Amino acid sequence: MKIKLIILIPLLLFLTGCYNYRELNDLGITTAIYIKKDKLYELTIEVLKTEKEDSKEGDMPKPVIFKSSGTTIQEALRNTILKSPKRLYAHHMQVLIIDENLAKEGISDILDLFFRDPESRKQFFVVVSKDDEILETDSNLTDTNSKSMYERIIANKNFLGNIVPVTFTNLLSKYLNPNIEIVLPSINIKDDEIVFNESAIFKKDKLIGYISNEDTIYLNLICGKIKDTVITSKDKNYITVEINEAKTKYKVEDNKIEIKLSLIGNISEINEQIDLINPNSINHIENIFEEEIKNNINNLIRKISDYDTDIFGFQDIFYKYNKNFNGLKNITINISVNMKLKYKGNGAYELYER
Amino acid sequence: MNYMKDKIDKLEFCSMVFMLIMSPFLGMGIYNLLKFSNNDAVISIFISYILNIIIFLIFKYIFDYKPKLDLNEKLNTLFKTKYIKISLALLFFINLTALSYNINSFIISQFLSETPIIFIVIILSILIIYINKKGIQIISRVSTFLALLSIILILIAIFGSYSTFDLTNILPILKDNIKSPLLGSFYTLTINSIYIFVLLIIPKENINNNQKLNKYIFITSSIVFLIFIAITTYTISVLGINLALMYHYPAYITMKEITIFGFIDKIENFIIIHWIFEMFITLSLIVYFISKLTNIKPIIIITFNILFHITIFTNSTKFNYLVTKYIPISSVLIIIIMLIISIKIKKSYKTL
Repeated sequence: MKIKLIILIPLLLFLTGCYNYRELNDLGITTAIYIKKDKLYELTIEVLKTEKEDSKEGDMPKPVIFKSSGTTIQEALRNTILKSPKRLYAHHMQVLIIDENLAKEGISDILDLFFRDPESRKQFFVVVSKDDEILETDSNLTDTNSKSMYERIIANKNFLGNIVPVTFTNLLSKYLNPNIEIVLPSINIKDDEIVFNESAIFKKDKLIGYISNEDTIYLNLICGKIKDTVITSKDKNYITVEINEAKTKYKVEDNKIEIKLSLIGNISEINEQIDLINPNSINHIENIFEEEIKNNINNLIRKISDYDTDIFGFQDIFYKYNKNFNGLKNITINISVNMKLKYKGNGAYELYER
Repeated sequence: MNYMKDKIDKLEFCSMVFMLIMSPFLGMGIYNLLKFSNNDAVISIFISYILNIIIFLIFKYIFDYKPKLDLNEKLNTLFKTKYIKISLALLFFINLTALSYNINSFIISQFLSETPIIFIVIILSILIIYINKKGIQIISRVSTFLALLSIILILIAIFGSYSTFDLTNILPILKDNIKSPLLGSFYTLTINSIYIFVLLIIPKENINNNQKLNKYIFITSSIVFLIFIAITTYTISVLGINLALMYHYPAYITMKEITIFGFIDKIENFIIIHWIFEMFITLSLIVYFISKLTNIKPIIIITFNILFHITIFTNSTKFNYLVTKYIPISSVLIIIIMLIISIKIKKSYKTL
């Protein structure tokens, strides 16, 4: 018994759970990293201040921005110790921002660190930036730029669908899949505000161009990633519908792919004299939208074919459904759109001109 | 003969079957399964489920023989030599070391990257020694509670990541040939199924109401294989096969995607605790098995285990290499030994 106690009591000192512990105050809670490469990797890091300084109850302290450089990203991250004693902690990271020029050179070199690091959760969003000082801009509605970007990406995913929200896991999954190319949201500063104005398209790991936000809606429609969006027909004046439900189905035969879009929505806004009491008018509006969406998708496919990249993942669809598929050359893409408009809001009629 | 004491319940026995088959899967099980069968992993599990029936039949045959005796006593009556016992103990010891390293390296790599592995091994070892001292009754009761908790946590994990499912990621199935799913099923069988033999150390008579026990064991192993299918499906469908292949613990990484009711998230570290529970019960039972078979004290077995940790598995790369290469061999040897025992039992029936 005595021997057991002699062994167990010293063990208690070692097994307290305090071995190599890190206090919250010693952590540099990183929320965003902007990566640029000149000769060295140049990082701008947004770190939350964990101590409050003369702030009112409920006020969040403003974040601190660190800049550092190194031959690798890990080296650059660790070099922040030269400016602050706190060691960076990436578990709460929300956004990874890649400089446009670095993205043009290729993003494969920057993926490995975040993939390997067990500390960072892989659910942060990845975006491409055209401006260097993206993290130094004053965010209007939220405490940090990273939070502002993160929340806008989530809101866009739920209510607009004109950017492609890509988490780090999604990015890795697409990067490793040889049958689909990467698309990332692109941001820049406009009137001192961070704006998501385009989507960056890639071939393998290199940025090769951009598509507009409007085109991104059609890209998301093809990929079946739309939850809710707003589409405006420019037939005569304008009609705007809100799409609440979008389903995408693929049918693959030999080298032919058929994409069936089923959309359900409501009329939101009309600037045309249409008799909305007449069911034929609703059918007419549905037909206008079906035709317009189909044309816009076809235009987008034509536009993307100039870049020679497969951001739609057609090759992936063929790979999954057609065992004998040999490559994307000479494939036929048929698109059919079925639009159903269910409600027209409070108004039974269109507002007439005075 | 110890059949009067250490009585355990049918449910408790089945919970141990659950823990033993389940525990290696989230670590080296799914890693090797995906590595060898890629998108055909689910087919591999189906095949290994069918092959598992052979293991189950061997187990049943030995288990039903002289139900008042444990494996140690059965071997004493069947064989004059001690080589069978020593071989079994050694082979299970190799598996014990591999499993133990698997869970400890997981804890180190994901949560305590700066802590020396020896600290984690010691904490787990103390628990294993303690529960072994308490005997099989306590092990089985703890196992029942933890198995129930495991099932709840696994269900939360599967339904919590439902929103991120993309079932098309499982396609294409059987793109190349049947060889890869067969290889994957072999690994699933050898890495997951063989630990059920550890329970032979419990005499059948020590289990209350054991009339339909075999049926319950079969149902339990079927549930475990269903869970394997669910975990594999959600891992591939959430990560995609290319990314799933890149991780040591793909099922754990998938758990990072769990969101319940849109606001409960970042609970992967809470969910994964079920794997630590399962490993704890499995390691305790293996130590109990070796200890009963060889009459070596659990503390000595654990000490050797710690020594092996330090000397053999010096890093995770070496571990994965050795596990992929040698654990299936050791498992196949265990199956062969069990087959030999079954044949000997059959012969003994004839001589009677």
